[in-house]
Amino acid sequence: MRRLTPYLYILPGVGAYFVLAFIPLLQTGWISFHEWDGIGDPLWVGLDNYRELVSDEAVRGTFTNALVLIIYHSILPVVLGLVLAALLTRVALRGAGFFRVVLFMPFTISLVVVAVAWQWIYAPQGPANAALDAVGLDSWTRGWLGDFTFALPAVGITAAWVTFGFPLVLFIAGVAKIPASLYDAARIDGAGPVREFFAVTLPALRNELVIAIGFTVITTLRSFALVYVMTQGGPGSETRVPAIELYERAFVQFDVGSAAAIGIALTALIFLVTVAIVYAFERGQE
Amino acid sequence: MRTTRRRRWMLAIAAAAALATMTAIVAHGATQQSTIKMDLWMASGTPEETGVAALVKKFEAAHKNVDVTVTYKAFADYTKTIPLKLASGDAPDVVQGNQGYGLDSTLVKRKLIIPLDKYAKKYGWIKLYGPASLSQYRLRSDGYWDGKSQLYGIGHHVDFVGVFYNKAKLRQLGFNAPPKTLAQFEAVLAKAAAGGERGYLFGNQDGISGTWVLGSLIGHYGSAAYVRNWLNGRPGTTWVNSANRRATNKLLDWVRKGYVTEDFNGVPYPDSITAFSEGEGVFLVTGSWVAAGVLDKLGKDVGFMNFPKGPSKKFQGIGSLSLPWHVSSKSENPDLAAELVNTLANAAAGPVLLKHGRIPSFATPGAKAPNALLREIGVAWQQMRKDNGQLLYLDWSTTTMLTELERGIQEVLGGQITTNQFLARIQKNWVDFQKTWRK
Repeated sequence: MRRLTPYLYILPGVGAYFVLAFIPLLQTGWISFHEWDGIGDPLWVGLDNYRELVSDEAVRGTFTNALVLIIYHSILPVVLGLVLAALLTRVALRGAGFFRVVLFMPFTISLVVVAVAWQWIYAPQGPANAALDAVGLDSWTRGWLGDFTFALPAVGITAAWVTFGFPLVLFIAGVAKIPASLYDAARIDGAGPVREFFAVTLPALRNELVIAIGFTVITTLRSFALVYVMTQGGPGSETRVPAIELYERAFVQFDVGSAAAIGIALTALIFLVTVAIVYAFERGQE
Repeated sequence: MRTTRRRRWMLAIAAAAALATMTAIVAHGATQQSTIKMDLWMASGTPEETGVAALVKKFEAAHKNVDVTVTYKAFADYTKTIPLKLASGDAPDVVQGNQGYGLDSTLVKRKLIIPLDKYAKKYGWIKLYGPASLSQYRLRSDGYWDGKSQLYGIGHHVDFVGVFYNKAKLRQLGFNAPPKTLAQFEAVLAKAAAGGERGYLFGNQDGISGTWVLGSLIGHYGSAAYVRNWLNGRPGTTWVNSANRRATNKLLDWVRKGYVTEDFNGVPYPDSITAFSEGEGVFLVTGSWVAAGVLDKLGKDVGFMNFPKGPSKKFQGIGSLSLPWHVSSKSENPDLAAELVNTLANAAAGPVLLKHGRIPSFATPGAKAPNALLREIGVAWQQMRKDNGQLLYLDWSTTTMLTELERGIQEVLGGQITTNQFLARIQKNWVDFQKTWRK
């Protein structure tokens, strides 16, 4: 009996995981092999849905867009978080707690609210263009979210703004764990602030980096609300991401089978990327 | 002995009480059974709601034993919920659908709604509505929308696209009457542009309003009957034709000449309505359904007309009758449900709809619209109706056409693809879709 007790403790968690995540995943996988409108009897089509995804240029485009968004939604916030964490922990700033709260704030706001606010910022008559006008860059003004070149970066910058607070808080906590003696030793060896950062701070933050990068990459790949509210995937299909394609297929076109296939493809991609990140860092540690 | 007698008495009383209670229960059950409960589901959006509520009340007054519960849902959620709701164990009796392959095709294919032909005959809908305007509700029983098989629904008011114009702005620019021809329409835009104003308010961030103005131009250059045939998948029709090419190029020309809102692909559609309502621009090409909001702000300065006629000499443009009323195949009282639909859609419903700000699908002689703008919209509709000029909505043609058109229009107007590439892409979508029905 005693040997069973630990399993009883994890039972609620594992049970919830099975009911809410694992079984739906299997169901989605099963549906993805069918042609199904969500109402009648599903028709077995084997791998047809997957073949169609691979051959559909529009679907491939959504995955490319998602990969481009990783730069803005993951890499930029992590780099920004590192720099700010190094500054905030190094300089004895009056009111540091206040700044931390302010910097973390965007991460806590609902994505729909963020999207609507930034839609206004990027509007042709919005503050972004007003600011450019004010500094004499009026030739740069444009309707950012309707521009075929700049719509994706514009959405990306919003994503970076909303995300960077999370890696920042992780890194600040991580830096606090680093023994002061390491910094003292570095300084005695004559390291400047930059050297100190690369030799002491960065290596010590390895675990935090795995979490920050892994988490932000996952959020990027499955992002929906921000893009859907800001641009609905437009102009053209410049900002279309897989989740929007999935949503339209499932709920607008009633093509649940191929929507499920996109979901499974996305899950597989996220799984592979996550494993790759963890593997890369662990290998680096050896 | 005494006690036994007493017990007997008590037993008798108890038995009587029990019997009385049982009778009461049975009687109560009987009255409950004679009250028929009906469910009606619809997409929400005033003033449609208030008009329907008034008509439902009328139906209940005529049927004392019927209790109708109306459920509203925002349009975007509604279209996603209704197939599942109809397939579930408690399907509503009467629901609104949506024409074409977006929704009605699925409902028919899955046998969730019933054909209404016998009711159309019984209640005289064909005569009231005109046979041409009901083709939008005719589908084959396998869900193929051919425009000529069974009648599955009926929509009681009209939703069509026309030109809202600012009368004060026209006068300022030196025009005393609204433009009658496309050349006059462009003259207004040119004059506005010369004065540094973009006369045509275009908010195309989601691409939907682009599909409407393109449809207006196609109606100007081409034939509504041809477009409807294309929507219905008639072999031999194609999107790649000279009317569509000229329409696309004309719109592109307006963009290049600076007649339309700058950076239109980055301007949300609702913002263009707001801007027009606040006195910006001269023209707003959009649906008659925004009338109430525009009127509140602009008052007597706003007018409405059909998009100018072209070579066909007919008023043709994007427009259709409203979302169809359907009767669920699971309704326990289909005849009664059809009668409810009739109350919503017959000639007597016309004045009620008009009073609540909707233009009825049929002529309502004698009934007067509550304001001047609605009267103008009513006149425009009668012109389009007389010319049989409804193009319907272009996205009804395939399940993916809405996105295809929205993306394509943004790209062609943004200079990303050529007019020919745009036309070919739309046609390819149509061909691929039609193939799935022919295999």
